[in-house]
Parts: sequence; C-alpha cells; structure tokens
Amino acid sequence: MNNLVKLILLSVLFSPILLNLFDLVFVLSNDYDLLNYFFKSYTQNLIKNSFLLSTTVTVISILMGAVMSTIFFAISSKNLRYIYIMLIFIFFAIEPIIYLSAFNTNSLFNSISAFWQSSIILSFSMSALSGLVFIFALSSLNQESIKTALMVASKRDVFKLILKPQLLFILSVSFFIFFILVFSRSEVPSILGYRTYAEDFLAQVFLMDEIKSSAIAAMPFYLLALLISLFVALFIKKYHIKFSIKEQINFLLIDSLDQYTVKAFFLFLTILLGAILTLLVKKIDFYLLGDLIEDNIFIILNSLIVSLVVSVLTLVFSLFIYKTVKEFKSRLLIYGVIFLIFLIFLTPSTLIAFEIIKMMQFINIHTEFIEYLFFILASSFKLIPLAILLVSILYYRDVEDESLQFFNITAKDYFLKITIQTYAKRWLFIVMIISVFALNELSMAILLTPIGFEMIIIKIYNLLHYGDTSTVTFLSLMQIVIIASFLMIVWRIVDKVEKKKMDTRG
Amino acid sequence: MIHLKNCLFNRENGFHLTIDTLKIEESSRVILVGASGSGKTTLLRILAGLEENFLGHYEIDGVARDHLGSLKERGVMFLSQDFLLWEHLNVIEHINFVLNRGKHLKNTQESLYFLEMVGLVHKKESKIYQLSTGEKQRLALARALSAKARYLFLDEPFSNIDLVLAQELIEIIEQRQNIDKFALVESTHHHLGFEKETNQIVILNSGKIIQRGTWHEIQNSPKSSWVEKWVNLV
Repeated sequence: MNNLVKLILLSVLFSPILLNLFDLVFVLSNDYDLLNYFFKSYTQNLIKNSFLLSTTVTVISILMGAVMSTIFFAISSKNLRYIYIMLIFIFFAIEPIIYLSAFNTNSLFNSISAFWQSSIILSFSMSALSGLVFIFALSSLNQESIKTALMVASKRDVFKLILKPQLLFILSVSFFIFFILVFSRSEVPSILGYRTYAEDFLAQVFLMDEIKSSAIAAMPFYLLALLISLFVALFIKKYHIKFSIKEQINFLLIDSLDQYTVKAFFLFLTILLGAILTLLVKKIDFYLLGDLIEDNIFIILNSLIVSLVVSVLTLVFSLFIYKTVKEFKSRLLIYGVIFLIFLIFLTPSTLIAFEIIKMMQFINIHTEFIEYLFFILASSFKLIPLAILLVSILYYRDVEDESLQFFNITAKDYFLKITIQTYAKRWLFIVMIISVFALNELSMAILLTPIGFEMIIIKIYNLLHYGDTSTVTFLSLMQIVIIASFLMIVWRIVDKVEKKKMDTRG
Repeated sequence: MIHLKNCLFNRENGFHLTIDTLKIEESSRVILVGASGSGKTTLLRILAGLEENFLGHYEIDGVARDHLGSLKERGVMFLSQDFLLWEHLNVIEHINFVLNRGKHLKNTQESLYFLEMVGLVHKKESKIYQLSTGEKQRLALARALSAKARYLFLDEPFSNIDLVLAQELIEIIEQRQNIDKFALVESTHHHLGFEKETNQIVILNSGKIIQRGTWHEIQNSPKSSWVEKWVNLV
C-alpha cells in the first residue's frame, strides 16, 4: 500500500475529530466572547471539582493497580494467575453505576461525603483497569537485564535507577489516561450530587443542542489532549522506549514476597467481589428470573454481537494506524497523529456522535445498513486510542516485510500462519478490554443505534430512572458473566494450542 | 570455589541436564563447549546462580545454596549473548551504575578507564540505540569487567563479532583476570585461547559432561565422534 493511500485512509479514519476541530475554530473565529464561559466562577468551580475527583481516583487506582500487579507476579501457580486475572477483569467489567446500586443502601457508605462516595465508586473499575495495564506493562520488562543489575546493586537501588525509569513512561501515560477517563464521567457523581464539569458539558450538549456551546465546552478536553501529546512526544524523543513481551513472567524483585501475603490479598479480592455480587444478586427478584431471561435474551445477544464486532474492528484500525505511523519519517507527522489520538480519547462520545450524524445527513442515504455501519464505525472510532495504547504496550513487531521478501511467503499466508498465531493471546486481551468499553458506551448507543435496536446499556439507563433495580442488576450481571466466561474459554483454548505446539517440538 | 554436585535440571520441553560434579576454582578459566542445545547456557546459568529450580548440591566459597545471600553478595557477574543493556541509560552511565554499586550514576575515577579499555570513550554519552552490535558487545563486556566480580560468566560472548575483535576482547579479559584474579567460566563456539595448559575445557552433549581436560588432553584422546570432529575442525 503506498503512502498516499495510507494517508488518505488515515484522514478518513480521523475525519470525525478533524471536523470537530474545524467546528471549534469556526465558532471561535466568529465569536470570541464565547470564551467568557470559562471565566464564570460557576464553570471554574466545576472544573476544580472535576480536577479534585479525577486526581483522587487516579492516585487511588494507580496505587491499587501497583498492589494488584505486584501480587500477580508473586503468584507461583499458573492456574491461580488465570483466576486472578479473571477476578481483576470482572472488577473492571462492572459498570460504576452497578457498584453504586450495590452500595447505595449501605449506612456506612451513606454517612460519607458525595466527593468520597464518588471517589470510592469510580475507583473500583479504574483500579482494576490499572492492575491489568500494569500487569501487561511489567511483563514487557526484560527480567534478565534486571537480574544483571542485581548482581552489583541492592533491590532498592535497582528499583530506583533501572526499573523506575523504565516504568516511568507507562506510569505517567496511565496517570493521564485514568485522569481523563474520570474527568469525562458524569453519571455517578451526578447521581450522588457532586457537580462536575462533565455533567455540565453533557447539559450543554443535550439540553441546548447548540453547536456553539458544545464546541466551546469541549475546549478543556482539547487542551488536555495537547498537553498529554506534548508529554508523550518529549518522552519518546528522550528515551526511545521500546516494549517487548517476555512469555515467561517471573518478576524477580518480588520473588521474596511471601505466599501468605499473596493468599491473603487473593482472599480479600475474592471476598470483596463475593460481597458485591451478593449485594447485587439480592436485588434480583428470582421468581421473575424466567421472565427476565425471556424478555432480555435478544438484547443481551444484540449487545454482545455489537461489542465483539466493534472491538475486532477497533483492533484492526488500531493495528493499521500503529503500523502506518511507525513507518512515517517525519516526526511532526507522528506527533500530529499522537495529538489526534489523544484528542479522540478526550473528546466526549456525544460530540463525536453529533459529527457522525452530520456526516450521515451529508451522505443522505437512509438505509438500515448505513445506520448500522455508522453506529459500528463511530463506536470503533471512539475506542481506537485505547486500543492503540494497548497495541503499543504489547509491541507489534515489524518482521513481516523482511520475511515476505526472504522466504517468498504471501502476505495472506504470513498473516494466517505466523502473525495470528504469534499475537492471538495479546489481541484477545485487547479485544476483551475493548469489548467491555463497547458494551458500556452509552452516548453512542443512544444517539446512533437504529430505531428498534436495543442494547443492554440503553435499557439499563432507561430502567434506572424507573427504579427497576431487579432488571438492571440482572442485565449487568449477565453482561459480566458472559464476558468473563468467554474470556476464560478462549484464553484456555489459546493456552492449550500453544502447549500442544511446544509438545510437538519436543 | 563454586561446587556443583549431583545436579539434575529438567525443562518443560523434555531437556534434562545431569552433572555429577563440577568445580570452578579461584582464578581459573573453564571453557564450556558442545553442540547447540547441549546445555551450555543452562549449566552456565546454574553455576552463576541464575537458575534455582534444580536438584542437587551447589555452593559458593563453602556456603551451601540454602544459606547464600543475594546475587549482589555472591560476587558473580554474568554476560549474556543478548547483552542485556539498559535502554534508558547512556554508555558511561552503565559503567557508573556498576562502579557505584547502583547508588547513583555519577562518573567515578575508573569510569573512563573501563570505556577506554574497550575503545568506547568517544561514545560515552551515546544512548544504546545509537550503538552498533559490536559496540554493544564491548559495552556489555566493560560493564561486566567493571563489576570486579570473583566469578565472571560469559555466555557465548563473541558469537556476533569478527574473530579479530574477539581476540582483542579476550586479551582484555585475560589482562583484567591477571589484575582482579577472578574465575572465568565461558561457553563458546570459537577456539580462541583454548591451547593454554591452565585452561580447563568441559565438553557437553545432550545435557551431560562427556569429556573434560586441557586442550592437549582432549586433542590426544577424544572420547566421542562429536569431540573428534570438533578437534579436527579446531
């Protein structure tokens, strides 16, 4: 594929965000007074609230993620590691709103302030996400090079001068990303009565339906994207950080962590999850279980199919973007794409959905197929940044071109026989993470799904307002159970195939 | 002295390493030779204390494996064929880290000496990605030597470089060995420096030691067809 075609494809992929930027420039160039919105003490208070909440949740999540990943590497049994990953994944897959419905009747929880209530609820899934990211990031470190350092220096010094600088990049990027994820969340703090900027932003978009206000209100997200892009660009330039996964993970620095601590933490996580699940299950009316299943089976299937298609498509787009950008010679172009990627990540889904609706109106073809296509593409588009981050952490090696030339293998054969088999487990991990986000993406689903097509998240949102906790909890639990089971089955199959391959090699 | 006795090591892929006894004396040079997959690297890693999941007796300077301190306290250094350099540090910082025992990365009086020894002074501020393969190899060697370990393990250290450079590096190692008096254990495919009477050659095949002795002893009475072929090639 030549460079011009790649650039055109990239531009098409990034078109919603480019149009969005154009809106902002257009609005600002016509009316500078709109910026006064940021000088109102009301707006400033909301931004301050959001910063406080985001920072608190991010710090808690990173600390918890560090503990979770440390425990993971201290687990000696491979099977126990699978269970542990599953456990963390379930914590991550549960929507914050579900944690809230589990805790909202607890008197201890109700006695604390709305700020701390929001922080605790949002920290559950964010800590789990942080744990998953850290586990995979730490796996990419070269254990042998750390052992070499340990031959001359103490564990403390090796951590300070060898390990920490290598982890700094992933830690800082994670910090920013978790910050943004919390910054753009509005449902939980809003229900708990803690006013945030994200809530006001949604109000601007939904209530006023005014392109000017929404474009201006999106500015802090753009500024954050610019800052993060600059940071990443500087870091890449300074350190030339590369990641490569080592299959045999046994992180030396925590070898000495005793197994009692590991088991105690394991038990704590299991009891915590058990308690949350029990609180949730208690809210289901079991005598209505048959009806619940019958009424919702198609919605569950719809949601699963959509989330899987979206996540696979997102992975394909992300691999294409990652590979294309790596081949760019111009640093400016690379940094430009990094900026756009962060911009997509930060831009609220609602705004992207509006751009997609505008595009559909421009195309002016109103068939069911086009509606589904744009909904799927828009959902993938929003998740591209997260997938690219995961792809870059899990390092996609560029050995294809050389091998194709040397061994005269067709691109199709190489992809089917080498690439897929090498990266299956890593891609599966990405697909699973992305599918959870796809399942929980509310704004895209509300604004873009064709009429008559229901998804779990829309039904949860609608029923929450009517107080039907039984159906809401049932749908959420079903979602979690299906994802967890799917992940476990596929992961075991991949593992068995790999083991079989090793046995055949002798 | 390092002493390994009744050692049994199993890999998941079915490979077994069985060593009755092997001693590494102070200031000696032991060269491990054998076909690819014969267990050289595994044995080297066991001797260096990097593999712990094996059965048998292992001691360093009279201290048995259960009572050994951390890697740092054992006085060992391992130079891998993968170099294992630290990507975020520049050339001189690698040497500084080792000379300062990981406390900080400031230059010491000896930093330049070790870089000069391998001809890398002009690259002292370079990052790892800016070095060629040969330069990385030389840096890895300088880093290993600057540790002033009592036991230095080299895993096919010259497999990626030309024979002339390999000979130069061996001379540097021998020169340092005379100063620091470390024991040198090396796995290799080349034949440089074999002929010295003080060097012990250990030949491995399918995870077992099939012959040991000086070069002349092995040359005069090879105990297997593989050894005979190897001697003739050398």
